[in-house]
Amino acid sequence: MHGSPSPADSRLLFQYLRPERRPLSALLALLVVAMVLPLAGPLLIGAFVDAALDGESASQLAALGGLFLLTTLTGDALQLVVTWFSVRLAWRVGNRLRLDLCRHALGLDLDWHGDHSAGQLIERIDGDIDAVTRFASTAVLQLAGNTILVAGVLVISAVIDWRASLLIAITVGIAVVVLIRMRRIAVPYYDEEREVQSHLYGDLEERLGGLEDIRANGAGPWAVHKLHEHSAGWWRTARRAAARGDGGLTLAGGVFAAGSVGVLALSAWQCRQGELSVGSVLALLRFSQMVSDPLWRVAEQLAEAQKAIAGTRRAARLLAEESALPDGTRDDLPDGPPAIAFDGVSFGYGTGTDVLRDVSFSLPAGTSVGVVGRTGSGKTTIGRLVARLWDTEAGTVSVGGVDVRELTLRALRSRIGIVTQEVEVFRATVRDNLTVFGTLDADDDAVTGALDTVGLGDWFGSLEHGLDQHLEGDTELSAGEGQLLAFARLLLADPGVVILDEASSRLDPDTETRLIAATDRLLAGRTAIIIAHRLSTLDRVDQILVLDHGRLVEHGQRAVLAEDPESRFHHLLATSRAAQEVGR
Amino acid sequence: MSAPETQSSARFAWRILKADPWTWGISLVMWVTFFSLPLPAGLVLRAILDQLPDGDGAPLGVLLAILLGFEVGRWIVLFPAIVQWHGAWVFWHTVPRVNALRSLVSDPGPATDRLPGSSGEAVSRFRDDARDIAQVLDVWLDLIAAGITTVAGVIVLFLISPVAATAIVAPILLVLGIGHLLAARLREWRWAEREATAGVTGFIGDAFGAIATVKVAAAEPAILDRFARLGSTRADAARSDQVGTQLAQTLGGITANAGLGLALVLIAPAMSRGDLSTGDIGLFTTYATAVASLPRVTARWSTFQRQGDVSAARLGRLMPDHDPDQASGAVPTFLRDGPPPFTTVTPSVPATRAGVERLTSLRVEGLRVRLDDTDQLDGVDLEVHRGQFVVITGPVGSGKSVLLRALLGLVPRTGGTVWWNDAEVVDPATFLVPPRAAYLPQVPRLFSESLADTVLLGHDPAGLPAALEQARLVEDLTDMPHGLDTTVGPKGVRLSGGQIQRTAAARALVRTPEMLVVDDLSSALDVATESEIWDGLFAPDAAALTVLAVSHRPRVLERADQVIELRDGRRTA
Repeated sequence: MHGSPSPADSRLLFQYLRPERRPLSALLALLVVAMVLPLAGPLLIGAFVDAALDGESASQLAALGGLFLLTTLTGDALQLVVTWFSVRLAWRVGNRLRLDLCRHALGLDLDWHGDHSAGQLIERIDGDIDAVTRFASTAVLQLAGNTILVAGVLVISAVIDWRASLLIAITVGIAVVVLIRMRRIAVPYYDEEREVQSHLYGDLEERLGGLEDIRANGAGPWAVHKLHEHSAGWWRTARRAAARGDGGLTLAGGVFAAGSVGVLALSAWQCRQGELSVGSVLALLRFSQMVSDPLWRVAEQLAEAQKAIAGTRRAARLLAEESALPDGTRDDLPDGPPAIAFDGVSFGYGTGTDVLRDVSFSLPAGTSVGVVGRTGSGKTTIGRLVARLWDTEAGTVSVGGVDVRELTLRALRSRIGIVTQEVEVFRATVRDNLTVFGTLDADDDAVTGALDTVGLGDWFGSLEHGLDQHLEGDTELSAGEGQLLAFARLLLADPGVVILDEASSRLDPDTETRLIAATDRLLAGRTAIIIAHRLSTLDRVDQILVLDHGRLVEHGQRAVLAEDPESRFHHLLATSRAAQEVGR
Repeated sequence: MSAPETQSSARFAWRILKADPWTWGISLVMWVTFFSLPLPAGLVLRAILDQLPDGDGAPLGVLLAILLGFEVGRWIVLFPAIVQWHGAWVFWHTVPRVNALRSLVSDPGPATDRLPGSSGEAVSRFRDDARDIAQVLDVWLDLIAAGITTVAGVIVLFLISPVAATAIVAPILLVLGIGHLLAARLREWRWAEREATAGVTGFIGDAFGAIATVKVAAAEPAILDRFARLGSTRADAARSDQVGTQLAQTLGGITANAGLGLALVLIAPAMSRGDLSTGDIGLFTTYATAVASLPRVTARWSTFQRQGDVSAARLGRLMPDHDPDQASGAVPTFLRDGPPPFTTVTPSVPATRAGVERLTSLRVEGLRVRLDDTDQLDGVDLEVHRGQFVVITGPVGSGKSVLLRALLGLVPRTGGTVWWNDAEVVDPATFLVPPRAAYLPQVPRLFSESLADTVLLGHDPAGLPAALEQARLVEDLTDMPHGLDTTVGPKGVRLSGGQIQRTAAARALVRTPEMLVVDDLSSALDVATESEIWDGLFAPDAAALTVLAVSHRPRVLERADQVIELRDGRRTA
């Protein structure tokens, strides 16, 4: 899966970091100081020991001790300052990138969104970027800082004794090779563990979501069995991965330990030869112990780097996605309800089978049409093409006499209101739900008025916090109430074109009748497309379209078709009336 | 931001520990060894340095070899410790998970109200809260190992130089104190950051989950504006949290060097007098680091314990009576060898059922349900006899679905009695299950497994062909890429609403229940297909099936033996 990063990916990161060049270089300078300061520690301890052996005064020894204390505290304080600045930087860059990704994803077409769940987008817009920004701010600095520290140790210890320095360098070299090798070996095992875990949690999430299905159908033991299987899988893979991944760390730890004992042996021998002071022995030992910490940190950050590269690549890929619906340029739709026309429209959802075939009709401004036909005949698609949620494969759809592809999506859609069978309720306040986060410019009175009109007045009255009440998505509203909420949205939007697609299918007949009465006012003087199973919903439309397998098989004035005993619509009406009478 | 409910995570963790003390105990022994080995190593180092520049004690080579043994041996101990620990880590997660899932799927009484609203949040109980508890068990290992090391190290230091010991211990105590004062603030910052992050991710999820609504409403600019605002709130919260965390870490890391520096200043007189040797300095450098891990570990311990308190309460809420003890009790986990093979459920043949298995009549009297302070059902009576088709109808929000779910024990009832063949049903949740009853919900959930598995869910496959036939699913199967092996559910091929409903119908029917409970089969099916299903179920040659269904469709009402009409939670007909 992991290829090498393409130049485009790193360019993306640089592009976002470029405006931050100054803070970044200031940070790096601070970091160098913060990292070099601790190097004085071992030297001062060595000096302290040597001074004591030389019989220096207590005050001189105390001064050396005090200097040691000062450098280490200053180094720590500087580290904090570095963190403060790098965290700020990370969030600036990260949020800028998140916002761009969000903007871009919002602009992509519904086909693309059909393939990418909201959960995936949370990962792409937020999760991935976390790794990227952490890398860009913290990890880069850590990598740089710790490299400086290791280099500093090697240089200074070389000044004391080149052989010890060489030994430290060799130790570091071996440890690095061990770490890299073992990581390479461990990666597939970690992937395996993650895979098992994602199955475990995915499975659990589904079972918990379908808990009632499971309980009432006596499938509990099966769900528990599956959990046991996944858990045992996790146990196996976790231990396997730990043996490789953490095994590498322990091996490297052993190498460092052996290396520092080696340095001690070497310098102790030289001390016996009179070539090194005792203080230098202690200093070299401390230096040899100082290199392991930065190396762990670098190893940690390399894992971050891998995540960041993957995240950047995914971000770059997301930004490179193009919407299948290029935005138009015209936003000069005349005021008032527009006319709608289909001219030779054919369309399929990219599956090879046409959902609409050569459909043509025109709907004069301010009139309404009812669309009927069996499930899968293409009714819903008509509404979607008007709002340009998809583009036609052949033919044109025009609104207000303009091809919808020439209009900006914003100009087009702000004139259209749709209520469908599947109502989406946001986990947000009632107000945000009705105004779609402030898109609709409506004051509180208008919002409550709309709720009253659709018959949600009692429901609204029962809310503790009124318009500020937070809705927990679909859970608080029944399916029918959700549809009523969508109608209230429609009332507020006050659009020139209204599309009702099985908009009342989840309502009982009584509520539906009341709602229709309320929306009659809304439909008056607007261009409307109404799609319905229940023909009673279509009593007041001007025209009727009958669709069959994507073809327009009948089109005419409702009154005319209803009277014509030869028409399909007449036939449908008769069947439905018969069913109604039996039912009552 | 109200303070979340808490339960003792120590008790919770202790009960898991007791469930398998060996797993934890082995980890502890290895961890203590790893933590404390630097202490003897420090003594050896002291001996070595005291032999410099020239000495007449033990030979230097021997001492160096011993030192090598301690230093390298420490890492050799770590290897098995880590592998073993990972097994223990999984075990600590698994105990509460298995307890909770078992209880949710099979304990008496309604289970749905024990779960949080969204399934994503529910799974976070099993993932994040279980992890928080595992972290408590883990930090105990660190705490005990660091505690032993610190105490032993300080004793040795005292024996060598009380002044140096005091100097090294003083910053540790100081940092422990500061850490304690800082802890509350850190928790607030962390809490604020979590809330802000949840706000951002939740908003992305919502906006893109309802992308069609967003697009149709041309709400993209409003969404971006809100997203930017949530993002900047979160950046502020995250900044405080991350800098605070770094501050705590830095404080924890300061102790070793600060203690050593302080010691150097204070022992200067003793050193110049020659009371302390070079070896002692070497020992101080080693011990200052070895004993300094305590503040860091203590800080982690208090953080994890407190996080764990919230998690223990949350895990407890998954259990009946919200009792965390039930989530932490011993339970078989089968981690090493996997669970024993699943024994499929073989149903009894309907015709041979007798006694309590066989339905003669089901009677409900005065059923009441109160949810969120509103009466959903206000005393409903109904009676169903063997072989009857009873349909419940009524306007939106009249309580139809609630009636079915309360009858099945899926939501808690506040009043009323259910009789099965004139015997009172005390706990419908465990009684009205196959083979007595099976349920087809209004919005059925399928699971990401093969079509056969998601229908059977552990049931004997013998009845599968008949059930698929009854649910009118056979034709659809030919269009699926792998027939019965096609993966369906959220991660599988996308089924239409009607196909999902029919699959769920097959799932209920394969259980050959005495009574089938159906919630609005029509919402995703066209009239013709729905009729076919009912026709199949009530074919003259079919076994006598008892059905309790919610529907609006005239054709269904027409077929019913009895129609129950609800309005505002009461029966009007």
